[in-house]
Amino acid sequence: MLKLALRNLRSHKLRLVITAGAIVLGVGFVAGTFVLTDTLGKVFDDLIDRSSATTDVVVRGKAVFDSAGGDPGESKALRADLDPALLDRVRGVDGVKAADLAIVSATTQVLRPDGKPIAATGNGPPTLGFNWSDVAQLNPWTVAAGRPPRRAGEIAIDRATFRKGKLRLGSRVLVRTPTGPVPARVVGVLTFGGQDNAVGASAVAFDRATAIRRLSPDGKVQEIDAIAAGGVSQTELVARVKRAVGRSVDVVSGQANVQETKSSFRSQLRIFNTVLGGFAGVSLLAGTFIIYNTFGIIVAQRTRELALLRALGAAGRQVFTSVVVEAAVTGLLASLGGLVFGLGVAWLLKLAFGALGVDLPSVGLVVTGRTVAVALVAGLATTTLSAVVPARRASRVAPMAAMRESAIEHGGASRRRTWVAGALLGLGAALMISAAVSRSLARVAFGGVLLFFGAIVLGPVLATLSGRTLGRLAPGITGRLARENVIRNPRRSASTAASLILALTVITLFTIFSTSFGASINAATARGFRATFQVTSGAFQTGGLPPAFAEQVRSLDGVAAVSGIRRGTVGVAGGARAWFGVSGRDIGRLVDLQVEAGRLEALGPGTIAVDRTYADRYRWKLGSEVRTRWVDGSIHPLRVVAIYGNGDLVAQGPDGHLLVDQSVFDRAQPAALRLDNRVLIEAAPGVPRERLRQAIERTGRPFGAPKVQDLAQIQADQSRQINQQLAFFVVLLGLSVIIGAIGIVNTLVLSVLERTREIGLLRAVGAERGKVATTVLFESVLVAIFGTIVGFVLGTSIGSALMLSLRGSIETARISIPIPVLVVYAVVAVVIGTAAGLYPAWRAARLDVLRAITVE
Amino acid sequence: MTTAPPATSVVARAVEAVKYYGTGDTAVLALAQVDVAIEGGRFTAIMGPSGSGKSTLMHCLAGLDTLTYGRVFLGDVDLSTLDDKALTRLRRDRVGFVFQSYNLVPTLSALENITLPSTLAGREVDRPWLERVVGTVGLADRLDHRPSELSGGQQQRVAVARALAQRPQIVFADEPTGNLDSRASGEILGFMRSAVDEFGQTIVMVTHDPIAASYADRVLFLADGRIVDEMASPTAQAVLDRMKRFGD
Ligand SMILES: Nc1ncnc2c1ncn2[C@@H]1O[C@H](COP(=O)(O)OP(=O)(O)OP(=O)(O)O)[C@@H](O)[C@H]1O
Ligand SMILES: [Mg+2]
Repeated sequence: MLKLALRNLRSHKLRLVITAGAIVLGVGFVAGTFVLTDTLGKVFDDLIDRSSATTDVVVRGKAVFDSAGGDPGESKALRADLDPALLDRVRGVDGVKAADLAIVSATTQVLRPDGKPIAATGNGPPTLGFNWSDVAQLNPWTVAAGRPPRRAGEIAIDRATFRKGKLRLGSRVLVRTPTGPVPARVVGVLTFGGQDNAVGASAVAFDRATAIRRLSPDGKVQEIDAIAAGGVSQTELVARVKRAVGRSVDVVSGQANVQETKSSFRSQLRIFNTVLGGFAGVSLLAGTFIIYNTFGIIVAQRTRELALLRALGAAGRQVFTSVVVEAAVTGLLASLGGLVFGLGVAWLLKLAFGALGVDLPSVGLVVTGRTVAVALVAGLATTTLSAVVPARRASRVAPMAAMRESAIEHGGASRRRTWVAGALLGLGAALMISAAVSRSLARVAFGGVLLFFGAIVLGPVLATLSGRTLGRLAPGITGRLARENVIRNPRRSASTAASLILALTVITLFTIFSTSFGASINAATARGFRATFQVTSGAFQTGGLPPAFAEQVRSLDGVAAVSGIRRGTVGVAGGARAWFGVSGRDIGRLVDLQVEAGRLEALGPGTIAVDRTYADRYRWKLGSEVRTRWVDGSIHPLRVVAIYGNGDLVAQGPDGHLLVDQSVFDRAQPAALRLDNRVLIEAAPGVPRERLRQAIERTGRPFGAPKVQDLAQIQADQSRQINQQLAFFVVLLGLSVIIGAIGIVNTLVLSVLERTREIGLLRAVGAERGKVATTVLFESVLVAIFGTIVGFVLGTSIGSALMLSLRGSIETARISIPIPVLVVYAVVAVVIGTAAGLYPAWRAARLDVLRAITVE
Repeated sequence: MTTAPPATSVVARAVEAVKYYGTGDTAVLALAQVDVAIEGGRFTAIMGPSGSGKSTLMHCLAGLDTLTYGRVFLGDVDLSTLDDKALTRLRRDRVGFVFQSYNLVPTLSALENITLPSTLAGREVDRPWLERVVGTVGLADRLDHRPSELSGGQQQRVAVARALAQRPQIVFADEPTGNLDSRASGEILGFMRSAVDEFGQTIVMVTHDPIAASYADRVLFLADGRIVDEMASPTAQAVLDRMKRFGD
């Protein structure tokens, strides 16, 4: 029987290739995900090694919070800064060969003449400013041209920025720093291990004194790094340094530090891997539908052959094994192909990163044993398992079937099928409705899965239905034949469309959710935004504009109210929490926080405002004392002076946060957080807005020319960002659509083969090649449209339920269905359906009439 | 012999028809210099041992297959001058087919199958004619049924009705009764006979059955790709006797 399985594979190479193709894509996506994450992991490991592997001892501030408690995702790594005077003490330790300060600041960039930074801001690679160290082991950068910065007013910058900004040695530039703009002359060009920058990160090096003054508003530093003299171990030196600097700071070995940094990168990569892996899983699932369908058709077509085998004495089990073996061999070949394809995918993604300015040239693609194992297991398991049901059907073929005229597939709406589908759909719908009412995300997910599988089980019924109705759109006798071909074998049509249904469901779900989310956010912004302008630093979450900017704006003519918004971390109720520093006096005029009790204007020294979520959870009332733990470890009780209902516009994140005046915030946070992520501005009555906007823009120029936006612009920006994200997801899901198209090609090729005589007859009685081809094309398009419509309905229902279940966290939650986008999807589906039908149609048209009517 | 045939009563005609299947050493000679003229308004049967080239001759006359050498005329059209599209149109407009099995499109009803050639051509169906044909083959009450709901004999009647419905110049039938019992065969052959007698239809039928051949006006005997004999106004017994001689 094994031989039979292999012979079957060999004699149907084309079918093997198409079927395997679907799995190759799915496995390739999975493998590509792993290869990419492993490669990125290696890139960052190398980066970390190069930056700090030669450091033997790291002295740094104590961590403020232990890792337990607090809000998930809130930074636990907050540390107090160090007094640079400690450097002398470290240098004095016996066994320290050399030591230096490490001052690093994000958002330090060389500006173009128009005020915009040369190296991009935002969610891209970091833009670093640091102090130049002459201790080579403590400084991963090397001077490629010119010389290091020696005194105030001199900088050295990375070669990538140097080239991009078309600078020369001696060029005079303005540098944006956390303390404001700094004029400087470029005296050196830096490279990082031979690369033009550090994996995309740009760099500006200052001399030590300038770095302390300019990068660190309070004159403190983040780290002191030391290297050991010969013969002194890291552990030994750590112990000696500890004795010298005392218990108030943290001393770790270089090795431990490297491990820590690496594992924090790794955990971020894992998130990335999970997200990509989710999309890869969708394509793999789409592939399993195709395997299931293909083997189902093959078994049906081979019924007579199988029956003959049975009649000749083959056991049912042997028949079963032969089908499963055929599937397993297909799966194995496809997995190997998928592995290769995955390398291609990873390589393309790497190129894409390069295009985004993150060059990853230093390492090749990393293929680990795990990647190979995952790819093989995924491909083999999905293929083999999805062939089990068809194989069981094959093993049950009665020897009598050999005598029957032709293979009859019993399809369509068996009563049991309808019941099962009804139960799944009913339960799914009930879960969705209850999810929308009770705002439970888990129920939406579970209900969505049930709905999807209910629709798949009900597929044959839906296929018949849509064949009957949609089919009428296809004109003429070819349309009629195509429609009948969809209906004649509804089970086949339905499982052909299954992968497409899956892809379209997920795409529609993402689309409905994104658009609705965007609309909800914009509605929330419209409701709560009272300011005239918002200035966005472009920095991600924390960091941004120096306080000087907001102060200068405040002094502009026609400004009625100004508040920066700073994000930081504070210890409250046993853990790290997000809190925000604002101008207590003005914030209430700029944003409607829906204050439920107290007054925001009362914010100032010794006071705090809390949101409804926290007030409820910790039973805080007006006048309650909230014990806060600051970055230096000290505890400060703050009195609650306001409780607000909706802080979304300040927090731009989940509920559960605190608000303090910046005078409190700044004392409680390290210098790196004392920066305005955004600045809100209200114009005085009667002030011409455009004039004010220009004045703000002029003020912002030395600060990196941040964006100045009014409400409409903020909303447009938010929509654009959400659409970009959606486009990214849709591209990732596009692979599943292609797999769905492969499913159509596969089924139709098999169907055309099966209908050889029928096509021959049509040709004999006068159908031209074109008509035969059109019939196949129509069938393909009908299946594609069927899949699209079911996907639309499923995706829209699940997306809407998801949105409704979010009413808890987004008050303005609303459902927005972007009809034009769906129309575009539908058009694309028709195009894909047509494309998928081309090859089978060509094969049908090419059939030799005589051969077709004389085959047995 | 390359002049156009007279457009009198000859409907189809093969001239020095030679057909090889395959090339080189494995080539099979299916037709060896066949000259044949099918007269209009008559029922011609082609008989011969298995493998003698009956089907091949019929396919070539019907424009389903092409000759290696020689020419075929349908009416006054030289089929060798036509491309695939023109051949298809010619089949649709001028030729009717009945095969041994698998004569109908399973997804279409009996009526739709009968009118399929007209539908494909985008032609109006000649209603009175259609009713007459349907009435003659006795299918009036089963027109809405799918082929799978009809017996083999009924299916074959639908096929004959389809072949006659668009008034083709000529109908080709390859063993139309091969799968039927004697009663159903008799009905089918009776219809074909009456189509010739009443409508003046031209029919060419390949058969192995001497009784079937006895319905014809003329029988052509084929052996090894040649016409070796012919018989006018055949009886079953005479045909049987003639056939027996092939065994020798
Ligand atoms: N497609 C083909 N390729 C090769 N040889 C063929 C092909 N079709 C027919 N032949 C050969 O040509 C010869 C004539 O075949 P044909 O089908 O015309 O015979 P027939 O008289 O119709 O036989 P039967 O009574 O069995 O139907 C046979 O020897 C056959 O093997
Ligand atoms: Mg034959």
